[in-house]
Amino acid sequence: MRYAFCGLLVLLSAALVWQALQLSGPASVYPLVVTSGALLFSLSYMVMRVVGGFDDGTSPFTVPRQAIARVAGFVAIWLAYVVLLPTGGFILTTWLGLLVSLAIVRGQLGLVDALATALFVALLAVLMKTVLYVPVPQGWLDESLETLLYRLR
Amino acid sequence: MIEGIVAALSPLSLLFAALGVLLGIVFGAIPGLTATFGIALLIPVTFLMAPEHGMIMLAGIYAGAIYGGSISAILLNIPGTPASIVTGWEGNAMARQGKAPLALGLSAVSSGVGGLISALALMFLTPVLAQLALRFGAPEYVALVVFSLVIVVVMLDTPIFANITGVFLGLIIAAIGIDPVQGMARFTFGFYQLYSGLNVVAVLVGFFCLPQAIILAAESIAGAGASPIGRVGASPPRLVARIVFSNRWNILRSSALGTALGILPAVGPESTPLVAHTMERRMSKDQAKFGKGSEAGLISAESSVSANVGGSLIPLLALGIPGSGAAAVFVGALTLHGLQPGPLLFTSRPEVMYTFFTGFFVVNVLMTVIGLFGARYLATLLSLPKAVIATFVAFFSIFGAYAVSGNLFDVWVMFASALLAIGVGIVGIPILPIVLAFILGSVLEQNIAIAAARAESFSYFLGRPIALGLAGLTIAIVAIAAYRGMFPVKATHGDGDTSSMGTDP
Repeated sequence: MRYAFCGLLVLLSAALVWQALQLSGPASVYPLVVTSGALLFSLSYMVMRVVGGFDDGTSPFTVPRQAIARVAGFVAIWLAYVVLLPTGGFILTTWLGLLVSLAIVRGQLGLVDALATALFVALLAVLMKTVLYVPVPQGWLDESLETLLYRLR
Repeated sequence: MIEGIVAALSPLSLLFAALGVLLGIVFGAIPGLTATFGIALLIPVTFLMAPEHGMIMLAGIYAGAIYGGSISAILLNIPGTPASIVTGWEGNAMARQGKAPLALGLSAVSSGVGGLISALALMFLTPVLAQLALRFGAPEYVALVVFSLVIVVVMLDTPIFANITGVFLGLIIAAIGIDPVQGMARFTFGFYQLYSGLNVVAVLVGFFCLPQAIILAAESIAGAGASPIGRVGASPPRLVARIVFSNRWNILRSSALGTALGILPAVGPESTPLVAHTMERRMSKDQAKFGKGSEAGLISAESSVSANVGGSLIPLLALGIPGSGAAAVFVGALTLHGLQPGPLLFTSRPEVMYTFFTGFFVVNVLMTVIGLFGARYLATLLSLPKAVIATFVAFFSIFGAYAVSGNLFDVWVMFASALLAIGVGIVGIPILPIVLAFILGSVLEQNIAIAAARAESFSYFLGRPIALGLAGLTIAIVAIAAYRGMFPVKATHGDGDTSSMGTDP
C-alpha cells in the first residue's frame, strides 16, 4: 500500500514536469525547477524506501480492516453532502449529513442524535442569517426560515 | 502604541481573547485535535471580526490549545497535542501520586509565565527585527526563504528525501495559478477558479482538519471511545505559587530557550519541551526524580512550550516567515484580513500590531487564570465521544472551507488537500515542509523574478551583505547536516531524549 502511494507520488510529479514542459519562455523556468525537484526527490525517496523499507512504525492513517467499510462510508457521506448541498439546501442536507455520519461512526441511530443535530442545524442556520451572513445554498427549509425571520423582525 | 494597548484592553478584545483561550483549551484538551487544527478551523470565523480581534482570538486559540493538551496528558497520560508529551511523563506521574490538582495548577501557571515572557520578547524583538527587515530587498528575501526551508529540511527527524520532497510539493502547490512574470496559467488543469491560486484557508483546513476527522472516525469505529474521568479537585493556588517561585530560574531558562527555539522555522512546540526538559534535568540536583513526577521537569516543559508560541510569531510578524506549522496557518488569517505579514505591517497597520502584542499578554494572563481555576471543569471534555467529534470536525472543515468565499469549489480544494495530506502521511512525508513551502512559495518566486530582473551581473549580489550572510549560513547548515549524515553520532535514548520533531502541534 505504502509503496503504491510512493509510486503514485512519483507519477504525479512526472505528470507535473510534463505540464511544466508545455509552458514556454521564462515563465516555464520556475515551474520546471520545482516539479523536477519534486520528481527527483520523490523518486530518490521511493528508492530509499524500496531498499530500506518502512521501518518508522505504522502510518497515522492505518485503518483497521474491520473499520475500512465504515470509514469509507463516513468519507462518502461528506462527499455526497457537498454534491447535494446546492439542491437540498443547507438545513436539510446538513441535518442529514450529520445524522447519517453519526449513525455510521457510532453504528447506531438514536432519537437523541436526530433531535440534537436538528437543534444544532437550526441554531446554526439562524446564526448565519442574523450574525454571520454566510450565503449558504438555499432549499425550501432555508427559504421558510428566511421568511419567518423576516416576519419576526 | 498607547492606542494599541487601550484597544487590546477594550471589552470586545478581552471577550475575544477569553473566547479564544477557552476554545483553544477545548481543542487542546481533546486528544486528536491540535492547535494548528483549531486555528485552521476558526480562521473563517475571524473573517467577521476586526483584524486585531481576529488575531487576538487566534493567538488565544494557539496558546490555549498548547496549554489544553496538558490536561489530558496529566489526567490520562494521553497528550492532547504532541507538545504535551513531556507534560504527560511528569504530570501523569504526579497525578498517580494523588497530586493531579497540583500538577494542573503548576502546568497552568508555568504555561502562563512562559507565555508572558515570550510576549515580552514578541513585543520588543519583533519591531527590531522588522526594522532590520526594512532593509531587505529581493535577494535578501530569497536567501531568507531558502534558509527557512533548509532549516525545516535538516531539523525534522524524518528522512531528508521525504522533507525535500515535501518542500518541492509545497512549492508546486504555491505555484498553481497565474505566474507573476508573463501572466501565464500554470497547473490549473482547465479550472478558471485556480487562476488566482489556491485558497490558503481551504488548503490548510484540508491539510489539518479533515484528515483528523477521518482518523478520529476510524479510532471510534475501531472501538476507541472516550476516556472516563473521575472528579478532579481544585488546584491549591498558594502551593502552586510557592513552587513556581522556587523554580523561577528554571522558568526563565526554559522560557528563554522556548522563545529562541520558536523563532527557528522547524522547531515547533512539539519538540521544545523535550529540549528544555533534558536541559533542566542535566542542571538539576535531583535528576533521579525527572520522569517520575518532577515538579521542576513539569515546569520546564510547560514554560518552554508556551514561550515557543510567542517565539514562533516573532519571525512571522517581522519577516513574514512562520516559526511553526501553527504560525504558518496564522498567515492564512492575516491574508484573509488583507494584511501581508512582514516588516511593512508595522508601517501600514501599527495599531493592529500593538493591539495584538498587548492582546497576547492578556491571552496569557487569561490562560493562567482559566487554567488554574477552570482546568478541572474543562477535564470533563475528555469524556466526549470520538464519533461526535469526528462528525462535527468533518462538518466544520467543509463549512470553514466554504464560508471564506462562499464558493463550493474551495470545498473541493479542501478535499483535494486532505487527500494529499493523507497520501503523504501514508508514505511518511511530513506535512510541515509542505505547509511552509506553500506559504513561502509565492514570496520566493516573486522575489526570484525581481532579483533576476534587477541583477545585470553577479556583482549585484556581492553588494548585498545580508543576503550573502544568509546564504553562507544556509551553506554552513547544509554542510553540518551532510557531515552528521556521513558520520552519525551514536545517541542514547532515555525517556527524556526521544525526539518527535515535525509533528503537528
